[in-house]
This record gives sequence, C-alpha cells and structure tokens, in this order.
Amino acid sequence: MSDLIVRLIERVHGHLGWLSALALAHPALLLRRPRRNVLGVAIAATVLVTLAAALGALLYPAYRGGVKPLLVAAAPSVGALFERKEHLGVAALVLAWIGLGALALARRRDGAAPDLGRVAFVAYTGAAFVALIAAGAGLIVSAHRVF
Amino acid sequence: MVRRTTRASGSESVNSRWRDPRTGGEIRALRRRHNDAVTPVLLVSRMRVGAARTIAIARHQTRRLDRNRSPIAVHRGSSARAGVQVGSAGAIFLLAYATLQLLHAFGRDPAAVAALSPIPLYARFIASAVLAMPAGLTLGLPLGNRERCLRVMPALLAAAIALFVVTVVFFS
Repeated sequence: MSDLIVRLIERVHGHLGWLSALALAHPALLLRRPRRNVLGVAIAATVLVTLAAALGALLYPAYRGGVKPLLVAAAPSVGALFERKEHLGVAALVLAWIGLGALALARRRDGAAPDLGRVAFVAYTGAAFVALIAAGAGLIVSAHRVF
Repeated sequence: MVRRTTRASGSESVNSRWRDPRTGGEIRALRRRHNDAVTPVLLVSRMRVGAARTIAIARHQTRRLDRNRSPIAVHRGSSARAGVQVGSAGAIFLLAYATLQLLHAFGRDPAAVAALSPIPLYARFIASAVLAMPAGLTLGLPLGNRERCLRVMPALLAAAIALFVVTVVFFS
C-alpha cells in the first residue's frame, strides 16, 4: 500500500472508530427497555464497528512495523496505550455481534424475548464502553504519531 | 370414501395412480359397476374430503405463528437455547482472550496459539474464536433449565466484560 492510501485509511479508521463508539451507545440506551425493537439501530452500529475494526486490522501490520517501534521509543506509555486500544477494539467488535445475535433471537417474541433483550443491553453497553475507551486511546496515540 | 383396489403398474404407487388426473383417476374412482355414470353424490363427498385436507394443510402454515402469539401456549425453549449459546460463546471468547493475554504478559504464550499467526493480536483473536464458537454451541445443548441460564446470562456477560477490561488495562 502506498503512503497516501495508508494515511487515508488511518483517518477513515479514526473517524469511523468514534462514530461507531457513539453509534453503539444508541442501542445501549434504547435497550434499557428490553422489549423495545431496536434491530435497525443495532445493525447500523454493528456494521459501523465492523467496518472500523476491518480497517484497523488492515492497517495493523503496517503500523506495527513502521510506527509502533518509533512510538514505543519516543513514548513507551503511549505505545502500551495503543496495544490496549487494540484489545478493547476486539472486545467492542465481539460484544456488538453478541448483542445483534441476541436481538435477532428476541424478534421471535416468545417467552425468552425479555431475557434476550437484557443480554443485548449488556452486550451493547459493554461494547459502547470499551469502544469509547478505545476511541479515546486512539485519539491520544494519533496526537503523538501517525503514518 | 371410495377406494380403488386395482394394483398400480411399474414404479407408480396405488395412491399416485389414484390421484393422477392423466389416468382419469379422480373421475374413474367415482364410477360403480352397476352405474357407469359419474355420481354427483360421490363427487360432492370427494370434494368435502379434499376441502378438509386442504384446510388442514393451510392451517399448518399458520400454526407456528399462532402458537408464537398465543398467551396460553407452552413455548419451547429454542430461542432460550440459542440465546444461551450466543451469550456463553461471547463470555467464553472474552475469558479465553483474557487468559491468553495474561499468558502473553507473563511470557508464556502457548505454542499452538503463536503458530496461528506471526502477529500476536491476530493469533489471540483466532484462538479465542476457535475455542469460543464450538464451546458456546455445545454448552447450550445439554442444559436442563435454559430459561434460568438465560436469566443469569447478562450477569455472566457483564462479569466477563469486567474481567476482560481489568486484564487488558493491567496486564497489557
């Protein structure tokens, strides 16, 4: 990948990360009432976080080889923060998909629907929480060094 | 109801020949030896039998919907089972990832996990997913009271999230 494309993907990844963190908070807020039908919102948030994660996974090998050694040498704590952000991003992705799965099952409207709504609430709340931390950490890291 | 006693030839069964309009099965079945004409009474009775069968088939398609909407029907736990499987797979993924993260922090990466990918983040993700998916799917099958398990699933998932965050923050 050329430098221009890598920088472009990096910026899109950063913006998508913040957007998806905020988008994940939306179903989490709506699901305080577990019987509420929020599948459309949940799908949009999950697609956003999946896109952000896919772009991050695409960038990670180049970042690990080119930027991370310089970042760790210049500011070790920021380098460690970057690693934490990656792990939290993975958790946000997985939790969003768990929430979406639970919501899809809750659409059957049988006796298990309220409990599935609660599972989706916890999953989306957790996803929004870790995604917000990851987005904040990404902002700090990008303030120190980018491609 | 009129029944035909002649045997079907070749690979055709008695029933298929009986219903096959190409062989005139429906009309021929309404004839009697003593009266070669088509009997209207038998025709009407035949239509009644057919209507009863058609209604039953049509009802079958809406029965599931009616059952799902019914407030008094006893619902099966298929959603509960799938919910337990999804929730437990997620919790197992987070716990497996946190465990691998801890092992990595102490410099004891399992060789099988390290062999998955040269990048540790990808290797941990793949290993946790490979562990969590079959484990979650099989865990939901033998459980007796799935509704109760689903009721505790939010707490279990919240505990797994908390453990994951603590591990990542302090052992990364």
